[in-house]
Amino acid sequence: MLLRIMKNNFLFSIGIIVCSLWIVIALMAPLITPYSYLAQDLAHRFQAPSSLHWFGTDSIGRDVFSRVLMGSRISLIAGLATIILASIVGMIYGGIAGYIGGLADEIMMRISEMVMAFPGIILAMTIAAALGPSLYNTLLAMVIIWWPNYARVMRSMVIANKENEYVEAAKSLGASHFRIFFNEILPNSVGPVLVLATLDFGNAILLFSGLSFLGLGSPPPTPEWGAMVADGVLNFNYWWIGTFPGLAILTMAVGTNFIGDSLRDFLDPRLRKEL
Amino acid sequence: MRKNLRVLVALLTCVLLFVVGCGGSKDAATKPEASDGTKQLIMALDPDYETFDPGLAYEVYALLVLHPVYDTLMQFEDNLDAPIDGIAESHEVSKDGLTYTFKLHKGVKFASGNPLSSQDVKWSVERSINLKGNGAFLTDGIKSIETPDPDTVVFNLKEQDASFLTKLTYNAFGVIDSKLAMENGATNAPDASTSDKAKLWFDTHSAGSGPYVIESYTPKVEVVLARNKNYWGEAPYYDKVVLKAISDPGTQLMMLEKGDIDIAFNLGPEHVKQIQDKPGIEIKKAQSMTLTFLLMNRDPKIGGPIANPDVQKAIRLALDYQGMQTIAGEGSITPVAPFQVGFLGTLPPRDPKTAQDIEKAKELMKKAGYEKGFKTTLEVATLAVEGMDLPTLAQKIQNDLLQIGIETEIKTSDIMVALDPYRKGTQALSLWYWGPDYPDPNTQLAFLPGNPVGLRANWTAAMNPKLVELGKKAAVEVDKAARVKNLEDIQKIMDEDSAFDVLLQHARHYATRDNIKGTDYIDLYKINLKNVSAK
Repeated sequence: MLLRIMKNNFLFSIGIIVCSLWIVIALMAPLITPYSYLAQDLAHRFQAPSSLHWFGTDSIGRDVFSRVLMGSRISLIAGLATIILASIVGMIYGGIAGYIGGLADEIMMRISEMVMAFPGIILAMTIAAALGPSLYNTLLAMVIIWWPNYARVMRSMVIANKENEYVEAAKSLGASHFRIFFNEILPNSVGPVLVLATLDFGNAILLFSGLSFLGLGSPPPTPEWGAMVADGVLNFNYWWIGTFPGLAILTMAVGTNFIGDSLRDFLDPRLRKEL
Repeated sequence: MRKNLRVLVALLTCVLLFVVGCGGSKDAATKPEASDGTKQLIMALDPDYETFDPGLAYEVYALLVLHPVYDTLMQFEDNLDAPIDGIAESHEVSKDGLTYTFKLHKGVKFASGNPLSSQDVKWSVERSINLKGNGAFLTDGIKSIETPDPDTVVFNLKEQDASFLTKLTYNAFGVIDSKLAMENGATNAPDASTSDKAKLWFDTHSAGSGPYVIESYTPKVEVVLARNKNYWGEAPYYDKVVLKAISDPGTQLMMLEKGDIDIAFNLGPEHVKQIQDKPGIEIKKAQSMTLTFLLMNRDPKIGGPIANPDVQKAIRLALDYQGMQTIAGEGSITPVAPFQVGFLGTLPPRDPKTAQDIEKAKELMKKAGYEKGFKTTLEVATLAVEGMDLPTLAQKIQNDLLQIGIETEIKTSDIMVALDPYRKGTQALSLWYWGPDYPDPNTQLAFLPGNPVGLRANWTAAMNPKLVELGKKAAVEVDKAARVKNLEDIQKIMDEDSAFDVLLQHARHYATRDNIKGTDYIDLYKINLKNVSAK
């Protein structure tokens, strides 16, 4: 089945290959890195890529290859955590707004629109800077700017679904609101939100890299790709310091976007074609 | 088709990013217009000046512009050991060290043609005092100024000050053409800080007696200095000096290689390597007066285990100074105490090969009761000091401290955020930098216990009374030999017991076209533009 899909969709298969490769690397990273990602060697700083250091060494002699591999863990975790947390928050918020309806819905949706009205990256920068740079604060900032997207989708799904016959049936059987919401409406509404979340995964990784490029991720010496690119900008004469983590961001973001795009094409009836 | 298009777009984007990344920035530099025979010097730098009002300017590059424009009573020539007479022909210090008498050169005229008299000196200094600008603290010790005759100025001080002659080299003491300045809204009245309206005029005009006048100033673009035809001293070589504001070192380097500029002033150690063998370029290295140091809080409530003096000494012994000098670039050194090499009485720097002693550091940790080590936070501002990235150095320190069991977590923050806890003294362990306020060891006494920087580490006067006493003596001692002895003793004590570990005294890297002479670095002026000439 998977093979058939891949045969028919070039971009989707590239996405799958690239992403699974990164997932394998992230899982195995400590086993396959040739050096410790923290080991400094000032005698061999700024070494160009060679058979000893495939991606060269940075300003304090750390192996860039090992750091790029280890960095995949942080990027994947950051992307996943943001998407999962934001979609949970968004689903609950949007679900409640849609289910209750009326004035509460109006107020809740205006609040979420207020968050959306801010330029995302600037709001995230403000939050991350105000709380102080750390992985958790950056993730929190990303969740804060991301959840309204899911809340809106969830709300519209809930509003559509709550008129269905099976909901009416449950109501006439005397089911509580809690039961109706969690047993009847929620399972039938999460689909589009989950698809949206998959689509956003690449964007979340990009945003995270952007924030850590600006110095708002975890403190050094954490091997974050964004921070490593920033280090490469500082040492511009040594192209390899910034290029390889940059390529890592590029491949991961493009890979997840290929998957997401193909999924959307498949799920959107207007664009539907054979996967 | 859609699919192919998307692949194409993706590929094109990659190519574009690559091209943008590699292209570098081309600055619209113009060739010097030497067609009409005017001799013109063009220098590129990353300036910080805010104003050219001599009563207000107190920025790093202020004196680069103001020294050749405004004469001062005292000035420096080649080194910062001792100031020499500037517009003063001679000077005399009374026995009690409280009265300084200066005889001015006779027949000096300002660029405007007005004669220069002792009244102008008095007026200028009074204006600086009353403007209350950032550099006004340099005038704090003055009780009164007398002008017995047009060629004599007498300063009466409140108390002895060994650094008074050095302070006189600053633009706060620059002699202004008071007649011209008053015509343009300047005043020396006690309420000058509000009633003086000349600041903007001073930005694009000048009223000095130096070899150059300010011809024009376009913020963020350039300052143009032109020859003062009424200059009383030996005329400078160049007719015009253009100081171009170019913040990117890569662009400075490119312009220098092309010959568009004569001096590229803000290069890092890594940039200099690129032009090592290029013909027509001379690389200059100098000792900067900027220090990078580690602050270790003495208050146990803030510092925890860091507050223990034995731990602090262990940290001093555990660090790899040679490695840090590699990171900071060639020419950087490690002074023993917060006193820069180049100042009067500074001890020779540490030998980086032998300064690290892990065994002894471990013993001290054991003595302090932290044999197993501890965890702490190392705070650092995200910025570069003389071309060296501070967070990079923090990672090196983190690595070194692990060897004696101290596990540090690096906390980075923006300089504007980090300054507040630093000044309030609430950081346990932090990495900072320091540039002297004026070129005299007295400015470094701020690091002593009980003094402003010392207190940022909660190092109170009671913790080392002997050091405090020596510091007070050194600040006022007028006898040079006795002062040197005092300063040396201070450094020896601070090598044993100090809340600071001086990691680096940085090097300054810049480059000139090889036909340019007289561009030696002097920290106060950066380059003394009066002396620059061409072969």
